[in-house]
Amino acid sequence: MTDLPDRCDSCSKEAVYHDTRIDDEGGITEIHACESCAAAQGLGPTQQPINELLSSFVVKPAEAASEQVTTKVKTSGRAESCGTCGTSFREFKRSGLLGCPQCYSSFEPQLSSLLGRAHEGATHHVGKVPKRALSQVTPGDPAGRLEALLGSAEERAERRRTLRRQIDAAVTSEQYERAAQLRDELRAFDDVSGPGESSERTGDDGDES
Amino acid sequence: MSKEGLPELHRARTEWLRGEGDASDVVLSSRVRLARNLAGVPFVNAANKGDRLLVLESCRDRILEAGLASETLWADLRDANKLDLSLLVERSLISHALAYGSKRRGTQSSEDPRGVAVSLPDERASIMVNEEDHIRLQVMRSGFALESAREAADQLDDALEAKLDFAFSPRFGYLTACPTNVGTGARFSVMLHLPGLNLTGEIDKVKRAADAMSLAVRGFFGEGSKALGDFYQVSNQTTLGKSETVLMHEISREVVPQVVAFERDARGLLLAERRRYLEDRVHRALGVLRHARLLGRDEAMELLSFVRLGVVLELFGDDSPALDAVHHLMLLVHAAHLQRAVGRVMEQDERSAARAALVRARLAVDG
Repeated sequence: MTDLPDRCDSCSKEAVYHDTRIDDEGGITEIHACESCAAAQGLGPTQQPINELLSSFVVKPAEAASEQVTTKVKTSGRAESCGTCGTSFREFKRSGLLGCPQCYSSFEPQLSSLLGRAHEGATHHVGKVPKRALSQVTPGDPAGRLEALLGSAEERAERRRTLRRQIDAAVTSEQYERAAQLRDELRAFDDVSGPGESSERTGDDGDES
Repeated sequence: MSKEGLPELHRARTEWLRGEGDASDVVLSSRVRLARNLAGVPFVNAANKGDRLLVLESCRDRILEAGLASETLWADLRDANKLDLSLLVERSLISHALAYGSKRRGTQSSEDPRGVAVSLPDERASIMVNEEDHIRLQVMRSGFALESAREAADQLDDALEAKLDFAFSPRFGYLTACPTNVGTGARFSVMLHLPGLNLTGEIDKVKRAADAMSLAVRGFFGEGSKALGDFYQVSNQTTLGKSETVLMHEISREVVPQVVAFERDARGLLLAERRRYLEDRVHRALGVLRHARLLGRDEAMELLSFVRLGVVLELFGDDSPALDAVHHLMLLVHAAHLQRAVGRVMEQDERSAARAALVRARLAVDG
């Protein structure tokens, strides 16, 4: 909605590092730097800025994104813009900010790889689920209800796989307390979404429940 | 309604500078921040003014219904003056992006609908509305107390969730404007005071330890800020694919105890082998603070950092300032606090003199 001053303050190349600083008087300075100037000035925080992640983002051959019926889709199967809020992927690449919750579905194929880079390879949420969602699910619920609140069987299986991987890693590195915690989490998740389902429905999961 | 509580805020101590709690010789404070957005509403950067106003009003009402504490201050920042905004920033109750807006988010107008709820009188919890996300909830604790902060943040989140429908996807978790926060939306951070490691030149150990765990090390005011007076914040960068408990434990059980041990070792080494040097540094710092006639903020913070070290290590004997006084000064030397304490708006030159006078008075030998 506004034009970004996305040029580097020093060399006017495209800026990938943006920061706002507050000085002694409470005055604000906006800082914009390109990758090399940011590095030269020691500006980069230890966290890789989202813009940098985006600029190094490699577009892989089209994967399936056929379910995005409401979004503008290029021939490659990737949405150019979100059908709900109209934010384009280009705008997102520039600002690092998505436009609305629906953007996550609209740009899912593009986001997966980016999220992996930003989150140590993770692609699925593990952790708190809104109480509202959990309290509406009981073990005997029809699958449709479960899916709406906790994701498809495949997504739930992926979440279990992530947890199991983390348990294995914790055991391997002798972090038993952490492994126990992760097991508790898996159990809590199984309690609401139904245990055993993952090993039955996903053949690639070699773990025993 | 919005500003009645603000003018006196500068007199009060704030939670994160209470100087109590576990490992408070090294850990200043612990903080948990949760990012949440309302389902079906554009994120702040893509929302028009009408949407932002609706978000502001509905969040304000629900937050006040839920209540942060026995008393909740609501500050509508649309009509707040610059000094009030700076005061809130200096107390870490709001971010500077919420105070002064952000071009990146298209929120640079001072009239932009935004606000903050603060729990009084302890300032342990605050909830920003219309920052980068619709809701940014934070809970602070003095000392090393991430678990207790997390528990409180979780309860607040539950209370809000009962009244507001948060954007959540089974795959991505809590949906946030920036994908670097998606998933748990949780940031766990601990503010560490590491003058010992700086003096022994081993501060890089901390950075390496943090890097190896994918944790961020930041300065006093968070992202992009420099370390002021040897205060560093360590926080998680990853928010997706690990539960809140695991994210928290990476910091609270793995990194912080290690860093606290490094820092204590460094202090022990300095005491054992370079005691004169250490005593000289902290006494010089106190001397300058007690006698300077002009004092900038950064210099004051650096000197206060050494004085804090001297107080904690009991190097000042009977002459020692109280830790509480040192902590309060760590707030009062900032521009807005200083101007509020003195009671008038001042230019920078005048502030340097006023800052020096205030510090002298607070650290006076018989005072």
